[in-house]
Amino acid sequence: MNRTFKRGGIHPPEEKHYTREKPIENLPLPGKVCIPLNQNLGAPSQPVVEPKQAVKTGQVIADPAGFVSSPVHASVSGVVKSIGYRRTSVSPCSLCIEIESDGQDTWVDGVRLEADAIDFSRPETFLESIRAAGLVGMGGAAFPTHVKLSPPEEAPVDTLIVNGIECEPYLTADNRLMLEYPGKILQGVLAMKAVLGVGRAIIGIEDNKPQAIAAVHEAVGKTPGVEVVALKTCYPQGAEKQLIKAILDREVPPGKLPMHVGAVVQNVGTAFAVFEAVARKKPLVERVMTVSGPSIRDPKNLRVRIGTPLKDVIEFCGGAREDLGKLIMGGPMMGKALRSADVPVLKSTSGLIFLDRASSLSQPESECIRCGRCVRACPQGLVPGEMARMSEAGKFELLADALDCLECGSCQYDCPSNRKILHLLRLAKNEYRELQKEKKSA
Amino acid sequence: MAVILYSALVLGGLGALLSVVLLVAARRFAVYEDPLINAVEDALPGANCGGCGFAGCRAFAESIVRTRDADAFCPVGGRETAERIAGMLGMEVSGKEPPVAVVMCVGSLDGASFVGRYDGVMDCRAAAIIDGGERVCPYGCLGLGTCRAACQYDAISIIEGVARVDPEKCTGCGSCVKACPRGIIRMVPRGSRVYVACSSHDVGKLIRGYCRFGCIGCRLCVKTCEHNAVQFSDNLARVDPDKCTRCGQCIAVCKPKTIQGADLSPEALEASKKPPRKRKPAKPATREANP
Repeated sequence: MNRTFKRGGIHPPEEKHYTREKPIENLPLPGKVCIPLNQNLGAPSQPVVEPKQAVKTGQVIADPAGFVSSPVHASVSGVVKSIGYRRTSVSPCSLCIEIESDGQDTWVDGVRLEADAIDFSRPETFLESIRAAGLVGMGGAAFPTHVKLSPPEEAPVDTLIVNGIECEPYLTADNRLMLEYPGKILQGVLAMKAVLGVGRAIIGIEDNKPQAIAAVHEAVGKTPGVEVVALKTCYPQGAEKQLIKAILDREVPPGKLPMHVGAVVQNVGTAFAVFEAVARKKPLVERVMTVSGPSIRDPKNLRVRIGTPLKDVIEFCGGAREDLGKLIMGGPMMGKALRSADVPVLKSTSGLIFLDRASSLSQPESECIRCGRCVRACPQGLVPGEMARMSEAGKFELLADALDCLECGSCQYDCPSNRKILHLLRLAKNEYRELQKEKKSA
Repeated sequence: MAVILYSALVLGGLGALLSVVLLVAARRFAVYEDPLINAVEDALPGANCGGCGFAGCRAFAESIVRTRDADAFCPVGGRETAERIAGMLGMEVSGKEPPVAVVMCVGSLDGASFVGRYDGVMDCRAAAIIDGGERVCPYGCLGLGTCRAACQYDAISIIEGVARVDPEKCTGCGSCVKACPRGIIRMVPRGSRVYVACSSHDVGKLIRGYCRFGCIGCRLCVKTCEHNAVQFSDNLARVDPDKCTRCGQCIAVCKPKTIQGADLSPEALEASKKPPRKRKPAKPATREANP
């Protein structure tokens, strides 16, 4: 029996059969891209191009504002059409740069698209390559990768954990990456290992992806310091803290980061992007995403340029069926329901899920019956139902514990009363932070 | 018999001793408190709403008795309470009236565009964190009634999907301003409610796509106002209540009917309904300056 984390967790239907066997396809170049500048967690980047300026693919169009920030690159070659506020999936008005493609896809100088090996003789240059490529965590949180790879001295790191869990239902993008490019992922892992200077890297994969486990196993072979671990399928194992618990049996204390227990977690998608950034000097201008669900005609795994309008993606996949009930960006558990497809693909977009009306309609809500199923489901050891009731009553000042919530949604998934626990906890988190801010400024 | 006698003596003695201790303690540790504080607190409404800026009615009473601040004002009690308190403290009432809240959005159900179906917690703050609500406008009223719940005086109602403030009931306490996640409720001086009821910073072309009542940035109001009371910045006009004379001219020229005027004199109301004038005559001063 494979290991997993011990507390909480659920096992929703995996639904990965839609796209598991489908190789990654390239989406044709979009005619126009709209690239938001607030794609990373932390400070939004500052534009460095002007409207009507010609840009090449991979050219920097926005500089990072501070350390916890990443540069943004043009994902197509063409002409900057406008710089202005647009609706994105993150915010109703984020600063975006619109580029009209010239269809040539001329890359910026210095990018070696054909290189397929990392030169390990100068590992000190890796971190700068990763930073310059604008890498952010590809799992969904979009934390700048170079920040995670430079832990402060007071938190010595001994293990790099590579997250090939992909515990969200429907999503298969990481699975396909591991199947198709295991060697490149391994090189990316080795590069990150060299940057961190750690002796051990562990690639964790859930046991519902046996082919991926086999492929990565074969690529790793007898590489010293790299292990592949198969883990028992359980949601939310892909969350950093749960993954560290499952693999290293270390508990990250509340309010602390993985590096405080000596671990750094990076997604396999990020490992692949690290390979491209270091070996090919290729900035993060495209990513692999899963387009899936019962209400899309032709589910696919796609390689998509950042900033591509979702409408292009949907069109390429044959369009949505008439019974479309909900369109979700990201996985169905933690992703975000979109109210219009008029938004672009982001660096953190791992999937686009089309749910039909029957499965997406929320059931009528009833009173909490204190059954405690949310408590059993919570991987963080919280009391979600009670906290949701407090949030409902507006007692946000008592909800400091809400900050430990991962927003994984296990509590709400298991709730027999269909209570909107997750949303209430999100509200509590937000309001508690606001209260703290107010206190600080007072 | 002896048992009863001893008990009575011991308990009586103990009682006498403790009463002396209490007496000494009461004398020694007595704190003088101005009786006016209690009197003022009694005169206040006791809602503890915080609208005055203090933690509650008691804190307000303590402060006003100590500082005799003529500008301190209980928005709930209004002028009557102010006069009563002023009488107690022997002060004059300053002429200030409490402000009144206005909602800077009038994008009602038939005027604004809506998309999708919001399925989350019925609270504007909850909707705001997931970019929810059904209104297309990213700045406008979410219409889920968090301000209505925050108002202790039942002054806010959601009409046609937009929050509206009843000025008669509004005490100017400002709870709704704090509650609104979109920050579209503002306090304006009572009796001078001429305001641009839109909060969208989008350009006119975009706004026209999603709201019939949005400020489209034509600046006719800025050009028309003879008192320089309308400022325009970041694609949005704003009326400065200090300069506004409530003549109604800007209301008359505003094509999307974004500018609202609620405290107009009958003449101004008439003027606000007139068709917009063609052009404002240029000021002679500027003509001389630019030959």
